[in-house]
Amino acid sequence: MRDNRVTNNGNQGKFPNMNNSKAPRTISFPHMGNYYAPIARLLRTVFPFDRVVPAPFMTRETIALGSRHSPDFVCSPFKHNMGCYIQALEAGADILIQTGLGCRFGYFGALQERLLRDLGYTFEFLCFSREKARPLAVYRMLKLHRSPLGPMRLLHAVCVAMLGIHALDVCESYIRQNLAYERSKGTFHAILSRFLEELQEANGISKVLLLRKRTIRALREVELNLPSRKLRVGIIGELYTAMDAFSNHEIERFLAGRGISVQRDMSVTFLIFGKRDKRTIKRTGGYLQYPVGANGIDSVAWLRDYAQRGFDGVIHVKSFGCTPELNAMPALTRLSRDMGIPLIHLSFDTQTSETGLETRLEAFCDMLEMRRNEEIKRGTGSGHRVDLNEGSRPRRAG
Amino acid sequence: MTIIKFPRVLLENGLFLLPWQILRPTSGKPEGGRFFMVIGLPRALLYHRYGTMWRVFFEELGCQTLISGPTTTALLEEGSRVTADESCTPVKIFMGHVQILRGKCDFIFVPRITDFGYFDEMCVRFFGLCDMVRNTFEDAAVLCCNIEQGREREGYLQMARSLGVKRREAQRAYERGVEAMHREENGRSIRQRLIWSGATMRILIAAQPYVLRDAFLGEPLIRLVREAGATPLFSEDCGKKACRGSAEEAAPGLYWHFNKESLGAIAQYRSEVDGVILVSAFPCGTDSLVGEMAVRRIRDVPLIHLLLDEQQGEAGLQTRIESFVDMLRARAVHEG
Repeated sequence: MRDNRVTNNGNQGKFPNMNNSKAPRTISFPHMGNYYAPIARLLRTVFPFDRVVPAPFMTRETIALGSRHSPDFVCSPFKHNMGCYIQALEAGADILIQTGLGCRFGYFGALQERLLRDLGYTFEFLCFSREKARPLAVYRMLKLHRSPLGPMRLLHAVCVAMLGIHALDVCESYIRQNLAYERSKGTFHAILSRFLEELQEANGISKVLLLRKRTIRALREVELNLPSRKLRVGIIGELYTAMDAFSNHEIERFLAGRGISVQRDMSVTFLIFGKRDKRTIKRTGGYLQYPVGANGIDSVAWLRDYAQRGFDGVIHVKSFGCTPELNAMPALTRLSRDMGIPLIHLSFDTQTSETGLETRLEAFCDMLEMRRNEEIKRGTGSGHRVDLNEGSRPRRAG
Repeated sequence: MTIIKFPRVLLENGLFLLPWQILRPTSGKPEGGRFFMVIGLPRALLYHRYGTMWRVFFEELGCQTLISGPTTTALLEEGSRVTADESCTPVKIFMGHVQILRGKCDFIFVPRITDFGYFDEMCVRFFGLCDMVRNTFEDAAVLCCNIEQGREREGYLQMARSLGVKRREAQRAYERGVEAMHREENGRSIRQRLIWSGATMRILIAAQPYVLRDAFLGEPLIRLVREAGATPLFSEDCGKKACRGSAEEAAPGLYWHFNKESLGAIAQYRSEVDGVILVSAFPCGTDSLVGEMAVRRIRDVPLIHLLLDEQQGEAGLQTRIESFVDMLRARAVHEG
């Protein structure tokens, strides 16, 4: 195993392979759900002479490492990222990748780089955050790090990645909705694993599209035991905790185990293509007048959407201290009360106990089942809720 | 007939005005008594930065302003009851102030300021403050002013238009408000510079304005620093624009408005002060990252990072401040 820790380095350890530019470098990036597959494919195309190795899959060890080397009350995606980076560096990474969006996420890269260098690691840090996420800045940074691709090929690689991400989101969405009802356990998991493996090999647009077609056909062919009235639960909340199964303690799998069909509209496809704040404000029905940061209005809009479509319940997930979601919480509580849809707030940090979480979720699922049985007994048929009473809208001045 | 208007301060807990609340009559005309409405200003969050401006702005329009009293433990408890547990303490204090003002005024003024430009944003809590108050207190009438990308004038004029005020009047009121705010800030800067020149043990206290100036959070700390024998200097009174400019050397890539001011003040004055106390309220979103960065990057001046929370245990705070000041004294003796 390579020892990456160099204490006294003349060029501050920033460019470890300056002497031998032909030696392959190892590029690594932290995890978020299953997106490692299309991202790894993209990076392998962009840096064909280097090794792309995603960080090791997250375990308790990762999060313990991450929390130890992070500020105390920072939100947990930071700590997960730190854990991934440290493990990747221990495994021999030379280049680390990070992005950045709104809320605090835009400043993660700067502090993470500082913390890792203070720990003594040597690496290059590619932080595509805020103004460095603009196309020209991205191109310049890639060229600086000796990517041999020209603009057209880069564009092609990015298109392939976007299609791959979209395919992944479509497949996962279907699986999420039907995982509870598969006749033979493990079929969906097997198809998804195979899809992820093949996605890492698909380096052309037609290959990705064919793979997607094949996978969707395979998914549709899986036999399901659909109940007459299935319980539908929506998941809303902060993007990292909603999308990363390790962060939210595999809540989707738990719900599937209870026979619940899960829907989650938050995905990277949504973040890139579907997020339009001006349109979403109207969809909150007057409960929010302005964007509240990151995905706050999306949470409120989706809650209202799920309530109108007659979902049985909604789970709001976030990490401890997540500021945009805290902004949205009063609106969510009020909306859930006005529209009569059960809503549970789950806040995750690195100390969340499995037992406590399970107890709350079990109670929530029991409550949903009881409500459904009540509705069936009362004879309201499908039990789908109609938007009868939307409640009073917030008053405006003037 | 000129009517002298003055702000009615809520004397709920028998506390009185803080020194920088300058009481003076304004020359606004009532316009036939059209706008005799009472606007409530919660003494929390942005009030500590823009309070004078708001007060003068509304009084020039002919409204009466009602400012809540300084923060107390009871107020914080009220606020904690209606906010999520994980919110930062300043937001809980703010909600407590709003709670106190409910029912006592026609509108509660809650501004929404997002950013002053691309690289100059406010903490995300300010984006959603207005909606939070609306959804928590359903019967409260909230007057919101939306300022995006630093377009302050448009924001205030639009709000005045929604109140039914003529544009020219609103512009005049805005200009008077800004003038009053600048006057106050200059006064504070000058006062600080005078104190600076006469002080022996100078400690720069860098914090968000609503932490520093709050009666519950910042004031006990400032008092303790004075009792320990040091002179506190505030990052807020250090020339804000210059501070924001020098923030880049202290923390490159930082894009939060208030954090740039605190770190910029440290970067600019680090050779002139004996020690720096960086103060954060738990669990401040921006300070969780910036505090750590400051501690790691600023190595040439003694710096401690203090966390304030709802449990106001002064003993712990006192110990830390006294030991810090003792250490600074020992350092001065050792070096001088």
